[in-house]
Amino acid sequence: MDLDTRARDAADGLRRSVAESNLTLTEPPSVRTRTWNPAWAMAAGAITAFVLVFGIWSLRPTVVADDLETTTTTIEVTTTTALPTTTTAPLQETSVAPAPVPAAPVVFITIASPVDGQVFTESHITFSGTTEPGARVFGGPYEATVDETGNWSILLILSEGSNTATFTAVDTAGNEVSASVTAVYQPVKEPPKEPVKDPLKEPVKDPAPFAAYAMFTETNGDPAYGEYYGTGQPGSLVMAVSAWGSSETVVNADGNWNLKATFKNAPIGTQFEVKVKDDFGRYVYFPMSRTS
Amino acid sequence: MIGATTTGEHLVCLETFEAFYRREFRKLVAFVLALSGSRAAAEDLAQEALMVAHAQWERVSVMDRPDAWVRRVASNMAVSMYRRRMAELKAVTRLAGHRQDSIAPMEPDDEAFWKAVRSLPKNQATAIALHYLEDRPVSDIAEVLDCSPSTAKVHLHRGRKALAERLEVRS
Repeated sequence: MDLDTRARDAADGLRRSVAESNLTLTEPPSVRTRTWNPAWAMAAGAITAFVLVFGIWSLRPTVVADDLETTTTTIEVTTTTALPTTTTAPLQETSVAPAPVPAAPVVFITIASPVDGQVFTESHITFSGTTEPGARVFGGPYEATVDETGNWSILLILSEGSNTATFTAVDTAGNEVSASVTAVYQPVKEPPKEPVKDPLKEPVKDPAPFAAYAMFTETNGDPAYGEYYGTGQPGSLVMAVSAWGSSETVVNADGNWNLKATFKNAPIGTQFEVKVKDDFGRYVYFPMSRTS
Repeated sequence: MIGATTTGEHLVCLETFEAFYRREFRKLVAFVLALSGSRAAAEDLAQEALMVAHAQWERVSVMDRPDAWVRRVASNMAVSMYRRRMAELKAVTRLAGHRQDSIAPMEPDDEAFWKAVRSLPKNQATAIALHYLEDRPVSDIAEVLDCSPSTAKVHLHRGRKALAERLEVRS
C-alpha cells in the first residue's frame, strides 16, 4: 500500500468517526454561550448569598476561567430547594456546554493603511492598523505606537521605488505574528527645465555668408598689426591667424565683425600670410608685410 | 443571511458567523482531532477556535479566507497549546468528572496513521492534515501556515516523506 492510499483511508476513517459522532454543540455559540465578566461573578455571589438563606443552590463552572475578561464559558446550574423535591432551573437561563480548553492567546495584526501596492509621492508615510490590545508592534527595529485599544501607527520613510514593510505584533505571552504590506514611493520629478536658447549658440544649418576684408596689407607699426572686417553668421567666431600672431572676435548681432591682429616680432621686409576664418570653416588669405 | 459591501472595485460578501459556524464546525473538529489526537478535546478546541473567530468576526469576516484563518488558530491550539497543557487538561478532565468522548473511536490503522502525523513537526503535520483530510490545494495550505506556496510545498513534501518512512509505505 502506498502513502496516498493509506492516507485517504485514514482520512475517510477520521471523517466517518466525526460524522457518526453526536457532537453536543450544534447551535452557534452566540445562542448558547454567555461572556463571563466580573459583573456576573458579583451576581453569582449575590445569588449564592440569597439561596443560602432561602434554598440550596450549587454553581458548578465546567472550567475555571484564566482570564475573566476574555474567556467565554458556560455554567451549569442545579437547584435543590429546602423542600424534599428537586427542580431544575429554566432552560433559557442555563446552558450546558463541553468544558472549553483554556485558550492560548492568539495575537493578530492587521495593516489598515496603506493598502498593499499603494503609490505615494511623499516619502514620509504613516503605517497603521490594529493588533491585540497590550501587544507591541515592530516594523524592523522601530517600535510602533499602540494605544490601549490595539490601534497602532508608525511613521516610516520610504525609499524610492517599491518598499515592503513587515510588521510584527508580539503579545505579552511572547506570541508573534507578522504581516507585510508593499508601498511604492514615486516622487514627483521636476520636468527638466527647457534650456534657455541663446540664438548665438544655436547650431546653424545655413550660416550667413562669410566675407573678410583687409584694411591694409602693409604695416609699419611697432608692433606690426593688421585690421580686418567683414560679415558672417551672428555669434560666430572669426579669427585672424598668422605665423607672428593671432586674434579673434565675435560677429555681432547685425552680422558684422572687425578685428585687429598684432604681429609681434614679424621681421621687417618679409611678407607673410594672415588667414582669416570663421566657425564654419570658411576663410580668406591676406598678405601682410612689415615695411619698417 | 448574506450581506454585501463594496471595497474599492471588489465586491466582498460578508458571511454571518452563524452560517460560517455551521459550515465549518464539523470539518474543524475533524481537523483538530487529526492534529490533537484527543477525541475528548477535539470538539472543545474546534469550538474555542470558532470562539476566537466569533470575538473578532467583524475583522475575520472580511478576510479573503476566514476558513484558513480559523484553521490557523485551531492548528496553533491543537498542536502547541494541547501539548503544552496536556497534564493540566487531564487534571481538569478528571476533576470535572466522567466526561465521555463525544467522538467515536477510529479503526486502529487509521489511529496509527494520525498518530504518525502528529509525530511530525507542526507545519508538516498541519500540511498533511489539510492535504489528505480536507483535500486542500497548496495555496490553501500556505494560507493556513501563513507562508508562501513554495514553502508550504516543502512542508508537505517533507511531511509525506517522513510519514512514508515512519509508516513503512511507499511514498
